[in-house]
Amino acid sequence: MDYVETEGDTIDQAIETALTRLGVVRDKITVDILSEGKRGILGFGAQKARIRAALRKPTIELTTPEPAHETTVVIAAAPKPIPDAETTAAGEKAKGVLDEILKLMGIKASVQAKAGDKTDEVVLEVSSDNGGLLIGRKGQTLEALQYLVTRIVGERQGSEGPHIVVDIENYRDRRRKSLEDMALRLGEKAKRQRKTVTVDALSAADRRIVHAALQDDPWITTKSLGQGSYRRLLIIPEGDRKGKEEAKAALLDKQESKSQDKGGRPDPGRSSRNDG
Amino acid sequence: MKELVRYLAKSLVNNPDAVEVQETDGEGAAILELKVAKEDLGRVIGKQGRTAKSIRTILNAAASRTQRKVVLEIIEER
Repeated sequence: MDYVETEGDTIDQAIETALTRLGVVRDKITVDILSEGKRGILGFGAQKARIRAALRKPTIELTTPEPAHETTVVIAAAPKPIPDAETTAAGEKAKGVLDEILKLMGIKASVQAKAGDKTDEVVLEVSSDNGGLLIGRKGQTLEALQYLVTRIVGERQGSEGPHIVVDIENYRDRRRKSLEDMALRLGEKAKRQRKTVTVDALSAADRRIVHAALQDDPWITTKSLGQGSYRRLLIIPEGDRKGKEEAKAALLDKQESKSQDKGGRPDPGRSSRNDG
Repeated sequence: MKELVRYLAKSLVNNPDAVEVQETDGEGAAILELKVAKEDLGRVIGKQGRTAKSIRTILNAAASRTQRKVVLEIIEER
């Protein structure tokens, strides 16, 4: 079996290196984590994350070849990814809706529908001279456009439609990078001062980025507390027992009043749509 | 502006024929009054007012290039 071992500052980076070296996409490999790596304190004691990436065997090989029953081979073949026809159709429709909204706003812009990173994701890339206006403060206009387009497209074809993302001039990428920088900076601050740091009000999607950015740091726990627009993200350093207990007490309170809302760290595998 | 609200409202509701938008001029601001069928009220307002907020955000962005402000009011009656 083919495999490579790679290093990186984070596990994600190590996986990324392995993927480029093997020249395959993520779901074609299995990853063994050899060492999680440590970020260290002020650069001391930092350890690189190490992983071993092995090529996944094609599913068809796993079934014993039985020439007499070709049908069994067909059934055992790898599950097909969700057909893209629905996503493509939704993308086209979403593009039409966004075109119309922009036209009625009196803004000259062109929209291009592209496939996203996931199979059920469509990215609508807007180019316009009025980019800043369409993004708005902290991206709120962009967020509003995306929300309304999703509502209008999703409304007509059942509840679980494809995920539609509206982006302008790579704003989403830039925003994610700046949030990740901020997350790491606040994480260092929390560790240095041994005090829990509370992050300003963030949208659900933004909070998710911060959680994800800090989840590999063994010295830090992140939690979200509060409801609705009062929801805040806490960065709790290892050893700040007070902050941790406060968070736990508040969590217990909430669980009593609302049994299903756990309010903890969101599972990174979940989509942002589900993130409270 | 009026057309924008009409388009968004008609796209969101189940009953597009009942959508009405009226524009009145207030002091320094245009007031847009949106009326929809009673059962569609929730659709233009949304969970915790999120849809209504989004419509207002987009209106404000569109209006920011003109000098006039725009206020959206969702009228509940009938």
